[in-house]
Amino acid sequence: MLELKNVHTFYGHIHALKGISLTVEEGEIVTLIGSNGAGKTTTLRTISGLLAPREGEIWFEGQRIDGVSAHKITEMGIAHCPEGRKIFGRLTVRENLELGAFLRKDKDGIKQDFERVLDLFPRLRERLKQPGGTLSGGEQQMLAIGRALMSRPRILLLDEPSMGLAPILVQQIFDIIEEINAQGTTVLLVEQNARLALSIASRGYVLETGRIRLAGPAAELMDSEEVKAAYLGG
Amino acid sequence: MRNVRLGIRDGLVFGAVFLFVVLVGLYGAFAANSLLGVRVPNMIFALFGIWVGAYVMRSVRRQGSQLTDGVVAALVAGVTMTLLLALFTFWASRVNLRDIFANMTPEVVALLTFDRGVPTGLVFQVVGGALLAVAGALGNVAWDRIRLPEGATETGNRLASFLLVLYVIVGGFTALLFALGQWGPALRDIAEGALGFALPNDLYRILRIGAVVLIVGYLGGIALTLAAPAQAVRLKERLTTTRRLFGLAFILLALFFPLSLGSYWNQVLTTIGIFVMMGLGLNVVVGFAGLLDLGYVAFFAIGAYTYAFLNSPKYGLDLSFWVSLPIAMAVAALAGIILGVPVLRMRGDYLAIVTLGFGEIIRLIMNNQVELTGGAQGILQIQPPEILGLVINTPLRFYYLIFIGAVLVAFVTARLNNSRIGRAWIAMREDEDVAQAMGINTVNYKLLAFATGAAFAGLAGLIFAARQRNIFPADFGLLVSIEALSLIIIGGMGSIPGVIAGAVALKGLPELLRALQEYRLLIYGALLVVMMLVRPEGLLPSRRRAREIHEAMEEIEIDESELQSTA
Repeated sequence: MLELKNVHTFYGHIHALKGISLTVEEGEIVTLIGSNGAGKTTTLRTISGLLAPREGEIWFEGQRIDGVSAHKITEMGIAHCPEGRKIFGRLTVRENLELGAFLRKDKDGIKQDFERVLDLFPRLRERLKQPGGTLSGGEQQMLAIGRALMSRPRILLLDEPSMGLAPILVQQIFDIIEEINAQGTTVLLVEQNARLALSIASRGYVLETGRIRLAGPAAELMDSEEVKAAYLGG
Repeated sequence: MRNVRLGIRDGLVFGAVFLFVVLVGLYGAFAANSLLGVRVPNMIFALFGIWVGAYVMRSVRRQGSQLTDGVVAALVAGVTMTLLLALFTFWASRVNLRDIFANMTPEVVALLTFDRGVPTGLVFQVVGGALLAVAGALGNVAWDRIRLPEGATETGNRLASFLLVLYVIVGGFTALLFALGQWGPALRDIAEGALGFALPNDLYRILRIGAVVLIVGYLGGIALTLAAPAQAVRLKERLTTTRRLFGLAFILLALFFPLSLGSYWNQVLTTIGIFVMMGLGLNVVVGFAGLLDLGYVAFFAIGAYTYAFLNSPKYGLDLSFWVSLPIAMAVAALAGIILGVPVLRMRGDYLAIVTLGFGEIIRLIMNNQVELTGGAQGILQIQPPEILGLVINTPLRFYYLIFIGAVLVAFVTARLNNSRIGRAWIAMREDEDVAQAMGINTVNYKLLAFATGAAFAGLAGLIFAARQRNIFPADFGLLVSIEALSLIIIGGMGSIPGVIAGAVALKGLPELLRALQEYRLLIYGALLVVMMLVRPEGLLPSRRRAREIHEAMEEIEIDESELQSTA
């Protein structure tokens, strides 16, 4: 469904991605793990068109999408839920969700998805009229994911959904990610919390300084000595 | 007892300030001036009286005391203040103080005693001060009652309904008086000017009665809605009604009030109207889309010069106002896009600097391309617009033209704000990256914002050129951009009523203050500073903007308290 072939991305002169190749198949949860600065976020930003790769190809459902502008990529069905819960803090929860469906014109479908998101995150329902910035960290993350779902994406790119959240909330969010996947959305998940990410993913890639270090089924990675030592705390 | 002491203290302070104003000569300086028919010194007196009362009432209420205590304290303060003044006036009337206080002339004493001589005038002072202070105190209470907080009590609701009904009646009456007294002749002038022959008197009578019935019916309907039992109408709905009501009263006033004004004030109103149009356009760029544009005058100039090129006999095209209108707006919009393309990737300060430069470039081109634009000598003999043979050449007629234009611009921007486009702009203003991730084509929407804003400025420029008849590069200086931006900030960023309020405050206030002579700009500047301190979100902010500002302020306060607790 999504394929990266030898992608190189630069920030000015800094060579951030040094030849990333990966694939995501329909219906999967695939996770990218790695430490700070490994290039996880850069990979997502490159896929979603916020950064353009200097070399390599990105294919999505038979179309080449590298170099295509971000809003067109969203239109194709790739939703990016950015790192750090970048919600619109001054807009209400409802307005945030409505913006998520910006590209869609099917009013009934939007309404349906709106209800679906509120069913997934009942706490947002109580806070529809509240400005996003006044939500708690966990609620903001829920809102960010909900907003991404409002575009009814074929694939959801999630960037560090556990960041800065209490462990109980993290578990909740991950349960919901599994549910979203079960409802038919493919997920590419970037995480620092490797154990949790591998526990819900079918396959995983380990990134290190812009390169893919390891790849394989999540269970195998979980058992790999290397991964254990570096990312799972022994 | 404590409140009485507070009243005496504040009364002495205000009395001392008042005396200071008298002694430095501010009081006497305006002896010959009147503002809206009241002598300026008497207004100062009234201002101090009301102010001291309101101030004392506020302090008393902050301490949690009863309203009656507040009224008593305000009364005491008013009496104390005026007693101080009366004693001084008495002294000055008996002894020649001019060696020490050069400004204590017999004329000033006469002013202070309201021309009634010493014993009577002094009584007037004290009684007047006491009454004004009580009025100020009650005004302070009423003000808080009118601006109902969310969880207002039922009594508060009822009081608010009552005040609103009162307001409707007074407002309606005023509108009617204008309609009856002023409307007739002017309407006749407009209609017969266009038709070229006289109409029967009965027609006007019927029209006038029809208008009265219409206004009364409409206002009465609103009044009835408001007078419905307080619990039956939800507070929120009532607030919406209040807003509509203010809007309606404003429109009625805007329609009829100018008829009773002379051409000087109508000229001022046309200037305000032109700035309303510009402000609404700039509001799209700055308020909705969040793109700080300091060179906005460029589009105003382009609109004006386009009309001049198309219309002035100098160029021989002689296109009419109405043909030039779409062309000028299109040219300005195109200029907006031309400016927009190179600044697409810029944000904040950088964008401001580049747009600032753009504004200057346009002005310099107008100034230096002498063969094309006439240089500093400008372009002369631009024709005024014509509607069905009626030439728009008086300030009043221009006022109505501009009024219609401003209403259209306001309508379009309001619709844009509530549309998909408006939502895209807001998202872009909040966070460009995320906006892109939502699928918003930020390039297009940015250019659209620039083009829309520019087109409205072009329209304002076109009307400006038609009004001035002659235009010069000096009319399009940086100051115009700054004023357009200031009026948005003063009125409330992103809010359409705010733009109107801002334009009235910024362009109307200096004219109102003209009676203050050389102190005019001083007072004007002070008022603007006070305004931004007291109401940083602007006069009539959009709800969202008010929320943002108050959140920001709360954060600052929290930070400060944290600092204090850690220190």
